[in-house]
Amino acid sequence: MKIKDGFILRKVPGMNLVMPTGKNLKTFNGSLMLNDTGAFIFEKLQKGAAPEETANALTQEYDVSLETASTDVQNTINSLIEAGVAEA
Amino acid sequence: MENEKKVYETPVVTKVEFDASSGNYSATQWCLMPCNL
Repeated sequence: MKIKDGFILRKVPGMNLVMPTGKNLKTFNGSLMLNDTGAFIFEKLQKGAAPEETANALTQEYDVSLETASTDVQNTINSLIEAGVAEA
Repeated sequence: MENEKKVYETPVVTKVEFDASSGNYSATQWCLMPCNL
């Protein structure tokens, strides 16, 4: 999977927003709001990290098991695909 | 000494719809957009 081109992560105090740019503006009216963990995953995936690599990075940054991290990364990917920000 | 890890929160992704109504953005999107983009 990959994050589609033309989406940026915008961090403002207290929230993380994924905003559309360019041609995405015509089809994506709004933004995605992520918590800090979601933003961490988004950034890794946008830089091209594989899901397994992203889950490993989560376990190094946060107090979480690899099993939980892997499940949560996959769930986040599914949410991003469903929202139209990522493609399988 | 090992670095202390951050407290983990389950990732949350929420889509927020904005109100769609010179030289394409809703007012909310525009205010949140970095100037260079």
